[in-house]
Amino acid sequence: MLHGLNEILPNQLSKRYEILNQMKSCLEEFDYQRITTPTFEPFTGLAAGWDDYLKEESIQFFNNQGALMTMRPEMTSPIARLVSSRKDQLETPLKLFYTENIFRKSHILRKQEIFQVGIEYLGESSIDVDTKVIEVLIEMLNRINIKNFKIEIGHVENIANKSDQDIESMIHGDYYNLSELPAIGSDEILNKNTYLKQFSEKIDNKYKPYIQYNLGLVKEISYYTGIVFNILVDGVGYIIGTGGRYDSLIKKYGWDIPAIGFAIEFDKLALALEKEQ
Amino acid sequence: MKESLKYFSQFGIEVDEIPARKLIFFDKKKEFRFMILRPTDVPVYVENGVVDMGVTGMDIIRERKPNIIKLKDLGFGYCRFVIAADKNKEISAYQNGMKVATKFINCTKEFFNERGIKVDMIKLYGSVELAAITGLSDVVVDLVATGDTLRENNLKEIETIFESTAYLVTNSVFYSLNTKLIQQFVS
Repeated sequence: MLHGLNEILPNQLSKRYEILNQMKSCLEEFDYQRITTPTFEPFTGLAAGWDDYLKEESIQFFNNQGALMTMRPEMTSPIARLVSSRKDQLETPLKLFYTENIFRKSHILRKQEIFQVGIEYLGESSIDVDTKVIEVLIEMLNRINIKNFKIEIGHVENIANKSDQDIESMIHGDYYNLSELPAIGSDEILNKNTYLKQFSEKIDNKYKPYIQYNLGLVKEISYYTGIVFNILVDGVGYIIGTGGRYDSLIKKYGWDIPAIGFAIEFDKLALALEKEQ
Repeated sequence: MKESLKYFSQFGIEVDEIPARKLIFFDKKKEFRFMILRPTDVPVYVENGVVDMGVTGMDIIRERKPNIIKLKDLGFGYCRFVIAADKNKEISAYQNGMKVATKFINCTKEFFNERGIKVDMIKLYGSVELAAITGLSDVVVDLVATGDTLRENNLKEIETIFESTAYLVTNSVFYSLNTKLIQQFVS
């Protein structure tokens, strides 16, 4: 087998398609429309909104005209680039979903080719939209019958007043360096007048059992500007999916609109499902 | 391992005598399952979520950079990461093109990169001291506890790069979903 690349035989595919179709039909019921972008494109255009982390993690090459090209290392930036280039033909809010392969440099515990299912909600920045995105995520996970999952939610304002050293320690998991461990729990850990408090008041009670808050949640990708979240499954030691709000990213591609989105690593989700059954 | 078990015993986790060669065993109350792993393998098991918590050295964490949560310095298992050379060899400054033998490629690279020195790395798997004695390399980078082995083999320490002790580590997803359980082992 080619290391870290996707090769799947028909007998393994049927189950995957079943799960994938359930996810797709759920997203379509919530009025998300499918979008697709080039697998690779010119580096200069796509990397406009990238930080060093994405530049480092993406797979790049020169084409036969000597132009630097890059495989897409995630779907948010190619979608941002695409919608910005067609902004005259599009109306907001734009509710998009994708089911695509993305490409990252190989790591010991990570594939190079990763199949993702995700959404982008573009053109509106509000708690209302944030709760809607979390709700559709929970609905979709319920649809495929995954049981013991939690959406772990944080917000960049929780770490805004922390020192660079503390933020660095949180990103790298160096908790021994922190003067206090970040609070993790449900509504009771939320402080008054914070974004997350308002969020928890807004979201329907029926979704609360699936949600926990982590006041120390930080992301390696630095373009997030608001709510950030991870999808966790009990008994599965890795993050299944991740998302957040990034209101100043799409501007870098030429269209000043806010956005929120998430991406699920399909193989990890399928593995978590398998483990539960 | 004795020190790790002693650490957990203060939280009421007691273990009977461990039969030789047994890799997996339980505590007396059968609440916790223990696994004996090589320290270098501990981060791999923890990162994959196969084990929930582990004890491993900061030297290994710095070398492998696993995506795990490092909770607490446990204080035991002290060692130093040092640069050493043949005691008769005059090393006044590190030179570009210098040959460096080590088991710890990443930490060594990082150290010389930070100093802006380009060195030739030689990856070895054991008895690194021999590289300096035989002239395979100009210097060696290795872990020492007391430094006795270096001295007995006619090597001298040039510089300590960092000091290391054992750390309590945990899987980050497990930590999020079982925060209270884990935090009781940190206090």
